[in-house]
Amino acid sequence: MSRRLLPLVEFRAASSSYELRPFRFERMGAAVLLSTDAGEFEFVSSDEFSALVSNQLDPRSEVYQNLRSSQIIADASTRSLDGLIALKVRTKKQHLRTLTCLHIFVVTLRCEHSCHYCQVSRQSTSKTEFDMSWENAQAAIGIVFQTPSPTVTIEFQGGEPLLAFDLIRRIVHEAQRLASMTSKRVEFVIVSNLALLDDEVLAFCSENGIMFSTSLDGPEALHNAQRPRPDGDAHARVVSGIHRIRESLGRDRVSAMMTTTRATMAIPEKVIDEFIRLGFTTVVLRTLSPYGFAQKSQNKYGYDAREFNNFYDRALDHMLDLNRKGVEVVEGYSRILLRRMLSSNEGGYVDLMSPAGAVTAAIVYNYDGFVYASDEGRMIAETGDFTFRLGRASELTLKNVFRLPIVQALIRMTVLESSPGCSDCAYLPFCGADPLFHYVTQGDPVGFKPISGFCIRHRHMFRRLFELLRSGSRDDREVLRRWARTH
Amino acid sequence: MGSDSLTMLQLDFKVKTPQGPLRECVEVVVIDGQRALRTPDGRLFSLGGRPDFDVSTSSADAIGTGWVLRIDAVRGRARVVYRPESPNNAFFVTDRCSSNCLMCSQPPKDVDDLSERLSTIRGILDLIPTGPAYMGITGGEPTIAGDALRDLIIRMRNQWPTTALHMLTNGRRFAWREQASAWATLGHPNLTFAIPLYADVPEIHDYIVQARHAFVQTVLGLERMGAWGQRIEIRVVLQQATLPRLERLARFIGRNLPFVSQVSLMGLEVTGFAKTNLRDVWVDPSDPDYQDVLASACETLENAGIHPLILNHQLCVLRPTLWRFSTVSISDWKREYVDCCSDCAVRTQCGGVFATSRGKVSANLRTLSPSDLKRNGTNRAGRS
Repeated sequence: MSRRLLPLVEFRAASSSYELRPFRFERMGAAVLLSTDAGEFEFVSSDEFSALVSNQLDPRSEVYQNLRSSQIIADASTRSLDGLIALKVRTKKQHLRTLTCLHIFVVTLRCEHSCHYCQVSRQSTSKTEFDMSWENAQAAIGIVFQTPSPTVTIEFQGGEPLLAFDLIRRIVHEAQRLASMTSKRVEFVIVSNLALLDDEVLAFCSENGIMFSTSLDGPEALHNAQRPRPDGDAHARVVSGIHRIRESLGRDRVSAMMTTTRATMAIPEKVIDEFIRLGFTTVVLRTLSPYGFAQKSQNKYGYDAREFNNFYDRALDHMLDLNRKGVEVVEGYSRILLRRMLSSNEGGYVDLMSPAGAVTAAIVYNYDGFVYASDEGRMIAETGDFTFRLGRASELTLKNVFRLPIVQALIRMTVLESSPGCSDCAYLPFCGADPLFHYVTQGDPVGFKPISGFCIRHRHMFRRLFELLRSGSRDDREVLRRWARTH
Repeated sequence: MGSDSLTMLQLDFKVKTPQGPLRECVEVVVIDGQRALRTPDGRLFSLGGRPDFDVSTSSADAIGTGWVLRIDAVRGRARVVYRPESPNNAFFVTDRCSSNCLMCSQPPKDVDDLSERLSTIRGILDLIPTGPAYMGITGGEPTIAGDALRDLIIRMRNQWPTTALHMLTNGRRFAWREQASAWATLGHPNLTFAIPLYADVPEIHDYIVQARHAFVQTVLGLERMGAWGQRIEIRVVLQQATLPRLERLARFIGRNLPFVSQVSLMGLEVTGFAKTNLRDVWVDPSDPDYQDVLASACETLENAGIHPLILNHQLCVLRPTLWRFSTVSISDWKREYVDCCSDCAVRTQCGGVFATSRGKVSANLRTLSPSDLKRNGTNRAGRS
């Protein structure tokens, strides 16, 4: 073998012809975003885009190298790596191998709050017929441990689940027993307004590593106006609950979610600042749900997707500004999107998957013993539409659930790659399906995308984030990348 | 790309046996205290006056306890092939290599040295019943040894089950399905394949390793070993040709090779070909562009969930935000500190400079004061 040093030109491909590999594109002003099924993306100029598709790219140019690296084009020297595209798609979709990992238990419909935008038909605190029976809970736990997923999360919802705390206690013990028998890891989350938190609850949660997720709508006046309870002290109670959980269980054991209403839109900065004041580093800009009973209040509290987009922009700007000033705060929904844009795997966010996470990733056991395809499915049922009711927990197995016509239809209809309005969207590799949203708003799980609030919101957020990654300031780009890294 | 990690002793070794002077090479271990030597077959040597064999050397004091020497009784030289006190022992499998990297610190030779090298490794295994915490396997290109090396790794798995093995290979051979499966099924619980990848595009990688098709072979090899669930480290030597696309390489690894356990970003060791080709490879690491590129590559890897490690960089040239990725990596026997290191506040955390680079170091090495010592680097596994 010769040990003489050869210059770089000797290693360039002899032929200059290249082939296109499948990609989607979106024009963004003078730039064009290209993306692939594997989740790769590139920005090119309009001129480069014209050259690309007319087979006139200069093999020595940087854009040629970048596009070949992302497997948007291939030439003689990289054709043998085409198989990597399939591997990348498989990596991206690896969550499908483990299947249903989030199991939601609606332990009671009773609640002592009477929130105006409530998604659920809450019941007054005395009506115990709206609690889950132990027999139904046992049947549900049986289904939980049929999942192939090595880790499962059991989430207790309501109503206010702490009103049924004795049942939670029994379910936790039984689930732990089955987890050790099946060598699975089980985590528990209680979704609670924290108003009824007491020492007994804290002690149990501490012993069993249970986490809390709560609702915080912002400053006291806004929170109390939107979340009325008998003494009008919802905010004081949730704040005290947050502090108590942090003291006895640890800082990271409680997270808080806000719900955006028309009132929130007037004061995004104040809402974000309230989260920071209370020591949270993540604020998730969550839209008002169109489901169940919340739909009735749309007129008073609701807004359209474009209004939400303006709110998102204003809130995002505020958070970027805070980060520039050294306050580390993350917009939680953008983080989910950024993680998909910047890493090789979709992550486990069940509400934005393709196919949709309903049943494939999450399943709901309602207080009355019925199983639903998703949390939204049971909310719709409270309005009298049982489309997404899968059957009684006592009569189902997880295998049977996957064979149900409604479940198969849901999966079939929510593969974005074959969904009208999605299949040619450049944001598809980073997006997901929301069949329940489209079913509620348009009467069809697929939906007509140009008028879909879900689509208008997501396209806006993706565009904004991609624009920032392409041409934002160095500081802002670093902030977005940091968001994608944090958990 | 490996380094012959142990030094040659230019001592006047003479070995006498009852049958006359020994005319072969033998591996011997220096027994604690006695200054005695023993061959694999149990014959005893002594350094000056004992039955059977007599090894004489004028500088026996230079030899440490427990060292394994390979004595070339013909030339009167000995090579130190194992030192129990060193964290940087390595089996040197061959000088041959299928690549010819621009900056190779241990340039390959087209020699037939496999049987001699492998017999030395067997000799060491015969002599050392309990293995060290870490053992490198390097070359040249170790996979050239094929079955013979795989058998030795299996022997190590059985004899030294707790020893972490770290094999430096160009990984090109793993592109072939049957090769990948042969190397991936050795059943060793703690074997890392450390494989260099220099760019996200073929030209640059192939140019650096001076071999056509090397990029495609290495990438396919990495994929195959990843599919086999092997523990893989990717190594990138930072130099003129790797810096322009380093951030892109980080992105490529994150997308295509997310299963790797570590990516090591390595400073140049200016010896061997790196010295010959200095004009084509050298970049001063203190250059702000260099630090920018290094920072964004680390960030991109972290976004992909891959831990970056910075090797062979002095803390005084490294941006403080990158200290947490830096590790003491220069092997003990070739690590040194320059004048300005004497009073440096971070000297004990810093890996120093390559003695082998003979003064070719950053022009901006400097003494850090205690006030510079705000953030401390973490020390993690990684050797060079």
